[in-house]
Amino acid sequence: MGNKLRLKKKWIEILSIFFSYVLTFWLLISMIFILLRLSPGDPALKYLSPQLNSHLYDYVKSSYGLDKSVFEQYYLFIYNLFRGDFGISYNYRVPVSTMLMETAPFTISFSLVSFLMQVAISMWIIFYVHKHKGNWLEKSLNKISLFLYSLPTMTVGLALIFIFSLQLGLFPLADVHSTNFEELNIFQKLFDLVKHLTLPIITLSLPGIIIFYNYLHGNIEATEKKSFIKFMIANGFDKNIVFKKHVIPNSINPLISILGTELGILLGGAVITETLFGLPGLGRLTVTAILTRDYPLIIGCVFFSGVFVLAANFLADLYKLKHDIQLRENFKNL
Amino acid sequence: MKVILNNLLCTCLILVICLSCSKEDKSDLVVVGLENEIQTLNPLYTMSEVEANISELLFLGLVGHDWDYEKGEPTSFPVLASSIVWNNDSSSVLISLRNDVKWENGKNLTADDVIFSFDLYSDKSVQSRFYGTFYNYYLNKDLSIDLKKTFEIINPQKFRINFLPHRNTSCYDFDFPILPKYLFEKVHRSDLALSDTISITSGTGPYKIKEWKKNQYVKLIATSKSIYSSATQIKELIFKIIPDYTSRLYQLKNNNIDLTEFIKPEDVENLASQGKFVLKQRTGREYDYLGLRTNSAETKNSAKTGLFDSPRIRKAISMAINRESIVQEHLRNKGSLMSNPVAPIFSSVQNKNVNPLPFDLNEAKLILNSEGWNDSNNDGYLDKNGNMFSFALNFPSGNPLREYTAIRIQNNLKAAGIKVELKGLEPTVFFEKMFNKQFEAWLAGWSIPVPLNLKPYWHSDPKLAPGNISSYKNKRADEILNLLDSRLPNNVRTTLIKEFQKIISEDQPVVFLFWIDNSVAINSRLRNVKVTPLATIQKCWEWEIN
Repeated sequence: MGNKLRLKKKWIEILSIFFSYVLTFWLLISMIFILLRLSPGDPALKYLSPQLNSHLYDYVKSSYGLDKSVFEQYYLFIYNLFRGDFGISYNYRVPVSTMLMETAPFTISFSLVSFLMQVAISMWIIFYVHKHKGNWLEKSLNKISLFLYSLPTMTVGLALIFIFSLQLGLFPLADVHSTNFEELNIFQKLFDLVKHLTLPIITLSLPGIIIFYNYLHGNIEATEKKSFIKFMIANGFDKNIVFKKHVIPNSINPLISILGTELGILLGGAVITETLFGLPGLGRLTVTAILTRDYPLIIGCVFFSGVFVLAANFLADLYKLKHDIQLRENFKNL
Repeated sequence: MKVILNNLLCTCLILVICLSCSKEDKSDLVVVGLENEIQTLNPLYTMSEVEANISELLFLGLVGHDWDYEKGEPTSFPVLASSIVWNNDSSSVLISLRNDVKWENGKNLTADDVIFSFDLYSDKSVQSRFYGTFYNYYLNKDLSIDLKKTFEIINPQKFRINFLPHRNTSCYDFDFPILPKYLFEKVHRSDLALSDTISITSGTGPYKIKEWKKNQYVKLIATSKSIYSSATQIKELIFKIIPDYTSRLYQLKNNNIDLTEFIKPEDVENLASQGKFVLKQRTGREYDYLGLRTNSAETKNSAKTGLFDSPRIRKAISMAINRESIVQEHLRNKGSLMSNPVAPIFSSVQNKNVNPLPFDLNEAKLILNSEGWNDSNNDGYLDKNGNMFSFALNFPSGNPLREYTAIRIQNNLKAAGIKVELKGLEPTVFFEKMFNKQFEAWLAGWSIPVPLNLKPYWHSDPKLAPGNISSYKNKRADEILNLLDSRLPNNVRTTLIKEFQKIISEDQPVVFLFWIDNSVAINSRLRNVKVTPLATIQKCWEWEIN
C-alpha cells in the first residue's frame, strides 16, 4: 500500500512538471504568433512591385489567409497545429514540416556533437588542471576565461576562417561537405565531414567549454572543501579515486540544471555559425524566415527549437527529481 | 604495451584517412555564389532576377534577348521559334516552332504547349508573377488572356498571336519560358505553386535539376537533348547560397566559387590585382534616389506637409547634396551621376542635353531663400513662418551604401540650413511603409526594367504606377507615358522619351543620386561569360573552362 502511494505521488510529480512544460510551450507558441501579427512587416511584400500587377498582391495575401482577422488566424493555427499541420512556407511553397525535416537533423546532430565536445573538453581540462594544480593552464584559464566567453561567435568564426582556412589552408571555408561528396568512399566521406565541421564546431563550442569549465571548477573546489572528502583523504583513500568517484559525481549535479539553458544558447549560436559557415541547418532557415516574414516557417522553427529546449529541461528536471534530495522533499511538501 | 597499441591504432587510422582523401575535381564544374536564397525555379513563380535566369536554363522561351551596345538597346533572337514574322502594323505575329525540340517524354514541342503556358501565366488561380501584365493582349474580365481572340493555330508547329491594335508590341510580349503541357496539366492550377513538377522533369533547356538543397545549393546537370546541348558545355553548374558577403569573398579567393556578383567597390581593385579574377561591370540597371513627398495631400504620417511640393525646393536639395563625392569615395567610381531615370545604357534614346544638377551650395541657398526659407533666428537652420526646415530621412538598415549616403545627405543639408533626422529601419518594415507612402523623405533605389518602361514609376495614376511613391504628377509626362504604350515610329518614340527626360529632370520628383555598377568577379579559369545589362547568369551553355 505504501509503495503504491509513493508510486502514485511520483507520477503526480512527473505529470505536474510535464503539464507546466506544456503550458510554457503553449504560451511560447501563442506569444510568437501574436507578436508576429503585431510586428510591422508584410510577408507578401515581394509581390508589391512596379513590375507586377497590383491585384496579384491582394490575391497572394488572401491565399496566405492574411485577410482574415487575427483571432480567426489564431483559431486556424491552433486547429492545424493539433492536426500536426504547420502550414505552407510562404517563401519556399512547400509544407513547413518538410523544411523542418530537411534542416532539423543537421542542427540537432551539430548541436549535440558540440555539446558533447563541450563536456568532453571541459572535463579533460578539469582533470588536467586537477592533476597539475597551479600550472600555466589553470592560471591562464582563470584569467582569460571571461575574455573567451565574451567573444562574439561571429568574431571567433571569422578569426578561425582567416587563420586556418585563408592563411594556413588547413580547413575549408564553408559547407558541410565537398561538392564531390557522393563520389567519395566511406573514409573519404568521414574525413571530408570532419574537415568541414571542425571550425564550425570549435566556433560553436568555445563559449560552452568555458561555461562548463568554470561551473565544474567552482563546484569541484567547493566539494573538495566538504568534510566527507576531507575525512576520506585523511583516512588514506587514494586522492585520484576520491576525485573520480566522489568529487566529480557530487560536483556534476548542478551542471545538469544548466543543460537546458545551454541547449538554448547552442541553438542561438547555431544561427550565426550556420550562416557564417554556410551550413544547412535550422538556424540559417530561421534567419531567412524572420527576414522575409515567413510566418508559418518562423512558427515551425520556433516550435521545433522550443520542443528541443523544453524537452532537455524536462529531462534535466526528471534527473534532478530522482537525484536531488532537497527538490524531492520540496515536492513532497507541496 | 596498451599505450603503444593505442598509438599504433591511431596512427593507422590517420594514415587510412589521409591516404583516402582526394582533391576535388572541378574540371567540368562551375560554382556560382549567390547572396539570396533560391526559393523557386518554377518559371511561373520566379520573383528575383537570378531565379528567373536560372529557370531559363531549364525551360527555354520562344525568343531570347541580347544587348546591342552600338544601338544601346536590347535585341531578340529566336530560340524555340524557328521563324518570327510580324504583320505590317505589328498587331500580329506568325511563329513557327523548331521541329527538333522534344520534351522528356519524347514528344515534340507544339503550339498547344505554348498556348497552355500563356494561359497558365495569365490565370488568376495560378497567381503567376506575370498575372495581369499581358497589357498588349486581348483579355478576359479576370485579366486572363482571351485565348480564342489571341491565338490562331495553323498547324501543330505554327501559330499566330493577335495583339490589341495600335499597341507597342515586341518580342518581349512572348518571351516567357514554355512549359510542358503533358506534365503541368496533371496538377490542379491552384496547387501548381506547391508542385515539385519542375524538380522531376527536364524542360527544353540545356540543364536540368540534379539536386536541390533548400537554403544551401542547387545543382544543375547538362542534358544532351536540348537545342543548346553541346560537347563543350559545362557538365555541372552549382548555384551556392552564401548570404554573408565576407564568406562569399573568402570562398571566391579560395577558389570555392567561380563567379559572384555585387563585389564591394573597395574589394574590386584587390581582386583585380590578384590576376586570377576577371572583374566585369554590369552598368546602368540600378540607381539610388532620395525620395521626397511631392504631393503633400498624400502624406500620411507627417504634420509638416507641403515641404517638398515646390520643384524649386527639390532642385535646391539636389544641388546641396555632393553626390559626386559619394560616387568617388564610397562607390570608388563604380557608378555615375544621374539626371533622370533613363539609364545611359539606352544610348539610342538618351537626351544628352539633360545633365545631372551640379553640387552648388550657394545656388541651393539662394533658391531656398527665394522660396521664403531664411535663418531668421540665427540658429544655423532655415525657417519660414516660425517652422524650421527639418525632416526625417528614412532608409533601410544593413545597406552600407545607403547608410553612408544618408549621413552625407544629413551633413550636406546641414550646411544648407536644413535639419535632417536619420531613421534606419529594418528592410521589411521600411519597404512596407514606403509602398504605403508613409514617409516624407526616404532613401531607396530602383532596378530599371528592360525594355525601358517608365510608366509604372512615373505616371500619376497610382493603379498604373505602383512605383510612383513620391506621388509625382505632371500632365505632359502622363501624356507622354500614355503615348509610349502605343505603336509609334522610332523617331517619334525617341523624341518623346527625350522630352520626358527633360521634364523629369526639371521637376526633380526625387533627387536622382547615382547609377550603381554591379561588379562581377569571375575566376579566370572561366571563359565566355558575358556580362550584359540584361543579366550575368545567362547563356551558361556558352561558358567554358580553360
